[in-house]
Amino acid sequence: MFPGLFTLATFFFFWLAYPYHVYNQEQFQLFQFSWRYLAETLAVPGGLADWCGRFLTQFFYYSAAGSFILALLLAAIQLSTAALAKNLSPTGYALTFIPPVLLLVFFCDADAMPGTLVAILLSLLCALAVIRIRPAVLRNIVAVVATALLYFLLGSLSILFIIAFLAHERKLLPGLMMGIVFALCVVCLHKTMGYPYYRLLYGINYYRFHHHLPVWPWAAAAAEALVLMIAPCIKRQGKVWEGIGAFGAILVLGALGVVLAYDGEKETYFKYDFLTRRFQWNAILAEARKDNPQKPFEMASVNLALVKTGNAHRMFEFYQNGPDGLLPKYTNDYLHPLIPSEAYFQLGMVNASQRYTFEAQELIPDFQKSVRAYKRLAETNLVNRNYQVAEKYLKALEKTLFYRSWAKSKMALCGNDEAIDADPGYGYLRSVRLHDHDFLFNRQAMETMLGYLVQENPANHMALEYLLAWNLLDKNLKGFVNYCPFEAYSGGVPRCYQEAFLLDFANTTQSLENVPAFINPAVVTSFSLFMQERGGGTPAETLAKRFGNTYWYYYFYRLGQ
Amino acid sequence: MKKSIILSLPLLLAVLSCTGNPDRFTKAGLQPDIYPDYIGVTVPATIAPLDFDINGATKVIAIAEGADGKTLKVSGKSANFPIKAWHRLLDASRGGTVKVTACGKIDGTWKRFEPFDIYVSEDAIDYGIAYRLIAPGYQSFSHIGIYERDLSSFDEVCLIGGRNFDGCVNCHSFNRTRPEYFSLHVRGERGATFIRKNGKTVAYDMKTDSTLAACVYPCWHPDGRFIAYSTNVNRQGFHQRPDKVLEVYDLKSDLQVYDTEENVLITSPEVKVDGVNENMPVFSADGRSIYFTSCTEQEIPRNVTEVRYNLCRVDFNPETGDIGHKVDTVIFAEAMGKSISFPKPSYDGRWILYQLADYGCFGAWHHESDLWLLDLQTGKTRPLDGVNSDDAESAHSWSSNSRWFVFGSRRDDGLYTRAYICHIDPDGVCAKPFMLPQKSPRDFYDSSVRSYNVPEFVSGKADFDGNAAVRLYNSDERTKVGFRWSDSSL
Repeated sequence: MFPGLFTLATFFFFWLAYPYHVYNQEQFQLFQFSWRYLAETLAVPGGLADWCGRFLTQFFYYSAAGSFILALLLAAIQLSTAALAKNLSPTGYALTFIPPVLLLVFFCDADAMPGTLVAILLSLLCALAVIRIRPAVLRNIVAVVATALLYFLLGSLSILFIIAFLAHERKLLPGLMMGIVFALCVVCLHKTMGYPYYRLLYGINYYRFHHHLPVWPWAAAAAEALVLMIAPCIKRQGKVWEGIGAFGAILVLGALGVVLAYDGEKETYFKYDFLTRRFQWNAILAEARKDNPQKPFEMASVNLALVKTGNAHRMFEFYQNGPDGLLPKYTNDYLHPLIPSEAYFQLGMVNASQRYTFEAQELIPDFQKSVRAYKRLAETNLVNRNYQVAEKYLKALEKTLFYRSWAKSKMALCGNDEAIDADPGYGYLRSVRLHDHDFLFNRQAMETMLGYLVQENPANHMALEYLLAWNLLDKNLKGFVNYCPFEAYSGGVPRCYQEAFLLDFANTTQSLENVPAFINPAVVTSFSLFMQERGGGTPAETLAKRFGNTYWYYYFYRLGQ
Repeated sequence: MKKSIILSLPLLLAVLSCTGNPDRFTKAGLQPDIYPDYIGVTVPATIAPLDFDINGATKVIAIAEGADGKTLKVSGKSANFPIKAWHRLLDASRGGTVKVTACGKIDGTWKRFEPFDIYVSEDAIDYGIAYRLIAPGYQSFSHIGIYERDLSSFDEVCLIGGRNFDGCVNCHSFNRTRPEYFSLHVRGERGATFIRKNGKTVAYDMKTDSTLAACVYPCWHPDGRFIAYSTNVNRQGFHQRPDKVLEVYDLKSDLQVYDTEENVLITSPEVKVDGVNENMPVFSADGRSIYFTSCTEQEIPRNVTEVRYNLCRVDFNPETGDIGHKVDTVIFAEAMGKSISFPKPSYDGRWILYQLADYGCFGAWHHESDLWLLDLQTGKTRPLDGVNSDDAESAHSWSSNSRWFVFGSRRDDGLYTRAYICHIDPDGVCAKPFMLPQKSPRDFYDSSVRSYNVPEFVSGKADFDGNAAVRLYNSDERTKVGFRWSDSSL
């Protein structure tokens, strides 16, 4: 019953509380069904665990499947532990939940790699198999040989195989032999493959980064060792309620660990990133109304959604934090360049999108490739007519499970200019991208770059919306007024554009007389009131209640002004 | 003969048993469309098997016939020849040709193509090549490294870098292919210039108060005492046009020579001129001149397309390390509206091979970048028409006997640089170059997402202890270098 409860609790935790975390993991790998991929993965110490972990991670394409897999792996570790430490008292049995609970805390970190769970599970399963071998001499020989093999296949957490075997055998000599073989493996791989000792001892790919190494997997391994050694020693005639109490205490402590390890900010970012990747623009806006996001990358997603849904003029209904919330500065990491990359792609700045995607992929700390990056790079190269490069990415995607059909459909476009020109997405991008102007990307000159896009392709409405938004967020009223086609709004100029115009008008003329006809009188009245209250010293918080969604409030009170 | 037949027999049986008799296949009437394009190439007798795929074929049978009439037959998804038998075939064909007949199963039908020739040169080639493997990206890279490849097999070893190293291994250079002299610049937080000489590797901090920055593009003096370097402050810019990707340009650069015995950097006012960028210095074959590229400083990035480097020369005194004070312009590329980069004198003193592009100093990102050859005897220069392609050729280097050169080319797909090797005869006639052989090449190169950057011949195994170098990189152990101005009396 307890394993079932634990599995369900874990499943619902990942599925309901951490779905985007699960989706995110799947995006930063490119699991291919090919011998070459298998060989390359196996060539690294711990490669089999990595390969199995990555095989399972591809199913994280569906968050329910990913959550279920993680829950099953954790439960299997607990069951294996219980099987190794047989004839346990209820309390001893409850202790077998400690390692998976610690691993659950570890997996609150999106950079924890599922290969860790595979390494632990396979180490325990191998121990379960080896301890059944008779006679003892053969068993000991197999154990020593398996130590070397498992180190190379599963990495350093295969030390659990030694511990589990020793917990069963309780003899010094085989333990000594296995320990020596383990140490020799580490030394040999250091000498032959050049990995530093700390990485060989921690595990090459248990965590995505190798500079910052969380303690959790090794805390779980230590707990596993203790449980295997100590749990069988606990008096077998213990009471059931003691076991239930111990189980409850472990769950409570585990829940506390999960709460402490839960990274809500990152999960929020993953959510906007996921919705952006899936083009769920309305969902982004719905979430933004609930979350009120304030970070640049999330705001970039919200602003992109506003533009894509034709609601750019409503941008000040949301918190805005300057031009960075429209097209964020490039950051040197594997996560954040992807939302701006999407915005640049949609804008027709195909090369900028390609660059941001390529950089993000190259910055994946464990050197994996990304299905998402490959898809985008295939697309940018299709649009840029670099068909052979596009083919390269598509061929790799054809070897994946969930992207094969997409890749095949795009492969049919390779070399077929007419088909791409006729494609609503790629054909449009070809038509709105820059053709005449050549310049080197310069974020300081974003206004100029967006201006070129509009100048070359007046039909690129998205570029115009971004140009206007950039100027508004940059508080460049002259630029905004210069670019805004006030006369083109047949249904009336959007209110926030009227607000910006009026602010500039008031700054220029020092009066609100002779305001152009496209300015609604109610806007003029509201502006007068705002300026009056502002001049009268009304606190910003009070003004926010009445004018928080106006451009004037943004202009005077956001970004330290 | 007997041995060859015995060796071939199992293969032949395998071929016949699973595919039938090639003689009965439909004749295609034309040569096969193979990847890589090895049709009519000239190779050294010690080269690794020229394995190939037939485009569009799901199965391939290939029969290679040596000059002595012996044959080697293989079949499979790719034509992958066994190494030992291949070497015997080529060894027996020195100065002659290997005739290859290929059959491919295309759309379910076996086709027998017209045979093609591979010319086997009598000129020897060096043991291997060393290159940097790097993603052809922008500013970031996942794992890069300097690798050494044995040209007679498919064996590749990582000299430094790979998945266990975070630095950016950069410009590497051996002394006229001799790997016991090795210079390597590593960027990163703990950036350093590694120099190996006399079996000892030292990490240097090459920045001095009197020089611009760290040492970048290196070239060893033939005697092994001096290394000519450029020192560059460079940047990258990113194009927005579909046909261009990025631009690497120098804000400033100078030329300097490092004296490994005196531990000083030497420069002279003539090669450290304000308003002029001197770059990519190389010693002449006799070690008495330094060739380098030079351009007038431009406003960057606004005038990046106006940056044009000429080829210049200055005297060098190999006894003292002093640099001459008269700079000659060897090729005034500016007048052609072109820009020269990476000049490489052949070690026999006859040629200088260089890159010519429309502008800039980094031709790898210029589709129009081509290889040109300067005849130092006649002063005439010409493009290598049979060698160049529609895409970028770059980063070339000579074999120790100056009969081969290796270069990078993006002709394969326009982005990923592959290494090509070309034979050049004493009169400067170049044969058709061939791509660095790989087993199951289509699968290999399709899967490879890194470029072969700056390939350079090595005359033997480098035996470079990359782990020790990484430990050195991670330590604070850096040797400072001194500085002196060149003696103006030279």
